[in-house]
Amino acid sequence: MRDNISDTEIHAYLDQQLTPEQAKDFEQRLANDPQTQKKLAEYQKIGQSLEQLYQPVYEEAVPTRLLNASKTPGNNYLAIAASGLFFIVGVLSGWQINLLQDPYNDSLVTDLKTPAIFAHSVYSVEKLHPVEVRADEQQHMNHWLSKRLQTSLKAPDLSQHQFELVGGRLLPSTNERMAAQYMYQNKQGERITLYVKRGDWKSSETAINHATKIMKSNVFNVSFWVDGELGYVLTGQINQQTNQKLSESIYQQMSLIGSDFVAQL
Amino acid sequence: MKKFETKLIEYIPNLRRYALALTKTNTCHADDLVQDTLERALKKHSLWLRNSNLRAWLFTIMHNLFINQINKSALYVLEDIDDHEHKQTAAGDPSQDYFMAQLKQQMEALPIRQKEVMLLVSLEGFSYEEVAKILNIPVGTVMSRLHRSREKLRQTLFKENSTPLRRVK
Repeated sequence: MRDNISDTEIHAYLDQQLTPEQAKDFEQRLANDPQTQKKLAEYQKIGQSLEQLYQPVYEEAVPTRLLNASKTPGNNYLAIAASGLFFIVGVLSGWQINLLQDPYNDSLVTDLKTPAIFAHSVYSVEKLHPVEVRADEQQHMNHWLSKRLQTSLKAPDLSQHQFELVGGRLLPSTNERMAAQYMYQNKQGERITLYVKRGDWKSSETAINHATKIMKSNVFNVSFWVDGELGYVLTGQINQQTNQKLSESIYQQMSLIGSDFVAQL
Repeated sequence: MKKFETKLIEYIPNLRRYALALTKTNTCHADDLVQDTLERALKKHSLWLRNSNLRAWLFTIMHNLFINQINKSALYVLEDIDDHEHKQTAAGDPSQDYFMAQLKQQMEALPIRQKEVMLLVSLEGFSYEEVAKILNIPVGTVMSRLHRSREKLRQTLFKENSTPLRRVK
């Protein structure tokens, strides 16, 4: 008989931490060691009973609140802060965008629509610095924003709808994520922004058949939709029809950005 | 992301079981802990390395949350509410019932650090290396804590005068 079996070995055998050779060797020595056999059996009994002890909760149906907790982002302080700030700005400037009455009161609103509208309201009025990177450096901008958002992005072309690209910028957003904002302007000086953000959008919400949703507020017409992991918001003081047309165009252009574009990066 | 959520849901029973054992079988606290864990996991989703062990990662989060909680409130540790809902249900053998009741009592009496190792290894089937990572301790410490907790349970549950048990030959 070889050396006595150590406690470490017993545990390792029990917890299947031994290699097959080690386990075989262990079993051979175990055969001549009634004391260890007894110990091993007792440990095993404890392990099995432990499993039995906590079996009810393991088999119980998962409470709804936990199912919900694994779907929606939890305490989203940034979103709350952002929507709060926006609310204040809205009230002060006489806007009446009823965020609180929004039927889409979930992450699409708090993490996508609200920060997008806010960003629009902040930058679309800028005279000197509406964008961070101007349209004449478009290629660089696409490259840069794609890199920062870790996805493939390209500013859509809206010139056939009389909107020319002004440029774009990178924005901090909720949920410790970043967003890209593209700004467009027509000859009348009307500005629209497209806000793009990667997110953990709820799957049920992505099932809008990748269609455009029009959210009409009193001031802006806002379209927002989710395509894969990207959420889009188009905001502008343009009529609903134009907004819808633009959104559809953007949706089509963005969905075309595929592997070719990634390869260029 | 959908895949991530699906996986989260898949591990809820494991997380609940562990939380319940940690929180001295108080279902309400246990589910609070699970909820906190899930929310944090969603929030920190980007920190999880794809294709790494999600289950171990979730247990790491839960461990950290739990330790923070008990560090914050001494009250938490002192509370010991019996939860009848989760009394084990295997009826029939009275000595078995007695054994289970004792096991429950002994598990609750274990120091938290030993209990964690015991649960992660014995109940969740993590390897010693995984447990070391989850608890952020050396593998040697995992092994010594495991031995101490198992031995403590064995000696109280199988001592003489205790419930008679079937012996292996």
